[in-house]
Amino acid sequence: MLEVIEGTLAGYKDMTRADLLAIAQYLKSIPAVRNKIVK
Amino acid sequence: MRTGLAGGALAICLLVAWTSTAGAQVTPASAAEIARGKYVFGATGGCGCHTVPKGPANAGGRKYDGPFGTVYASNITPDHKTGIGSWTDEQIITAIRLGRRPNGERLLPVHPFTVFNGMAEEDLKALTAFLRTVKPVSRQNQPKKITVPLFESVFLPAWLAAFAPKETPPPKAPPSGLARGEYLVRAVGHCGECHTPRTMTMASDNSRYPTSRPIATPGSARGRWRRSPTTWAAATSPTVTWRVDSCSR
Repeated sequence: MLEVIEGTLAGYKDMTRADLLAIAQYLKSIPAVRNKIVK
Repeated sequence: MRTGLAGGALAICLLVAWTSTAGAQVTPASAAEIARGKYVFGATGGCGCHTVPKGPANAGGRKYDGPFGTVYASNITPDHKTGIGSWTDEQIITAIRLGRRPNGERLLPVHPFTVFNGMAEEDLKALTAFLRTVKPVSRQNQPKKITVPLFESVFLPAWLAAFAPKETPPPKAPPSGLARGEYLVRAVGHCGECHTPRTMTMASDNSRYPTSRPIATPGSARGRWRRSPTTWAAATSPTVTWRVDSCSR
């Protein structure tokens, strides 16, 4: 992801703590899914 | 004195933004709207797909391979000849959320317009205002190379009708809480585009949203895949036990 957003004028790093907490709250609320990642 | 200088600088910024869009039907934006647009821009991931690493911001040219062929990101700087400088606000918003160029040509859903359709009008207007303030770069768009016969005339419209997500834009961007988080994840941040596995039809498998899916390495040959990292909603990940406040930094 770092590569994808490299060189942009703004990014996720610029989001407010309140918005990041809202994202975290939402992601914690959705059903857990078992999906083993094959590397 | 400082107030006067700041006011002068603001006036110059607004004048630059205004003159750079001369000819297009645009609504003059306030400094607050441009700042909001920059924030929305950041929350999308900085429209990073439109910037070649270490290249000029938003100037396009980034290569994306898919089972249909190869596409290159468009120049979304306000350059009048090669970018979006001559587009109206409405045309830019239509491209972002409906995937249509001003000439009616359909964008491929490599640009995630189906989920950007879930963005609030006010955020799209602010984003458009910000995009107009970026330094124009003259860089001709590279034509896509579609290798599947009838892909754009038959298969893509059918696929969009049958499988594409149909997000509904909220009347206003949710200001806080769970609704705000969902809005940022689903629409603005379009997290599911990389973090949701695809079905055989290349549609998002929403029964596994948003866990992981193979993603093409930008610029790689077709068929070479790597995995996007799982989100911590996945039960296989120990981060499922993370506290909310530890996930935000």
